[in-house]
Amino acid sequence: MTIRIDLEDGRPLEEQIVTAVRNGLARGDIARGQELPSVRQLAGDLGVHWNTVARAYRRLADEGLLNVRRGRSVVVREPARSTARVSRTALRSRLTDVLAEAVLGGLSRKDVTETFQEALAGFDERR
Amino acid sequence: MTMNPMHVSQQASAILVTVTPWLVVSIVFRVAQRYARSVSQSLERPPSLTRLGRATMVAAIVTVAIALVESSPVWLLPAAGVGFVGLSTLALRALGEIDRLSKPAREVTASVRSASLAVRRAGQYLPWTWRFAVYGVGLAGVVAFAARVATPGADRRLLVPLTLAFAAVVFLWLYEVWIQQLVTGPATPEGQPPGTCQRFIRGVFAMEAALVAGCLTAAHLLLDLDWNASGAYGAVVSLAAGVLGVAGCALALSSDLTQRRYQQLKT
Repeated sequence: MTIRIDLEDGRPLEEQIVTAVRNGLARGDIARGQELPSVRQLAGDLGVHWNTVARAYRRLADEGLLNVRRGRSVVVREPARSTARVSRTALRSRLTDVLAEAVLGGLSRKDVTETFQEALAGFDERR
Repeated sequence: MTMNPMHVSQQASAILVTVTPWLVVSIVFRVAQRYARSVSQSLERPPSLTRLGRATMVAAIVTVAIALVESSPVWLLPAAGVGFVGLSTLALRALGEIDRLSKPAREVTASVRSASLAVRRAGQYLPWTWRFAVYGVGLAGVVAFAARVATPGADRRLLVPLTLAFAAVVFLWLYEVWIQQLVTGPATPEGQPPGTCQRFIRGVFAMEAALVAGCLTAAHLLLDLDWNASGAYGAVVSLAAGVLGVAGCALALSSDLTQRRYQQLKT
């Protein structure tokens, strides 16, 4: 799997890495038990400071998604399930924000429904 | 004045020492230029390298003149040493300029960056048996060399053989670090066609094997050499090992100039 970051995106780089790995896990592109590249390798490949990748890995470990051992490998936990629980109310609130943006941006109800279903279809059904 | 093979060897060594900074920088420049061409960019010869070439020419002429006037190493080798130190200062400047000029060929300034989440290991590019073979040759060569040194011998000249045995160990370590750096170091997905990295890593490994085997072989050949009877042979072996060592150092110095990467962010 390939992750992508954008320097012109308003979000911090650490946040973008966390989101990319989270998405990969949710979609099943990153397998359970899979070893991830070292901080040095990923930081070098992306051309970012190693501290940015280390902080991103630490956050994912704190969420219960990764096992990070100092000086050793970074491995996806089995089963990889975030300890940060999301309630339906919180999900509805975040979706409402996105939907409002889409409607104001000119998307029709049909476009929104189709796009949502396409995005949802990309995620691993077993989760 | 009669010159025996030992004198010829000393004079040739002095000239090699004098031209080493220029030789190293020239090899580094060639490597950087070749790499720049491979990514469809050009790399102009830096002015500091031209200045270094001229200064080396003058220093080499002075060294040869000293060698012709006074064949004793008491004058010759210190003169070569002074030339080496002076030219090294110019060489460092030229290396810095090559690094700066070759950056556009190495650094990608894209704002959207991607990286694979696949772990890269040396074993994916080089069979472990090959690497262990080089470790084995290195270890066996050094142990055998130490055993021979511990055995008393007649009229030995230890400086060059010891230096070569030590160089073999240093090269083994240096090139292993380089291979690790190539495997896990920065790499852009759009950098090079598939297989380029493997070919390059295998090339570095081949150089490592040649350096370790070459330096140890030369160290063993020179250890118990009778310089009076086989001086010319000894001079040729010493110089060949010296040139090999200089090339090895130069290639190791160029290790950072042949990887395409995203421009490193400071924070």
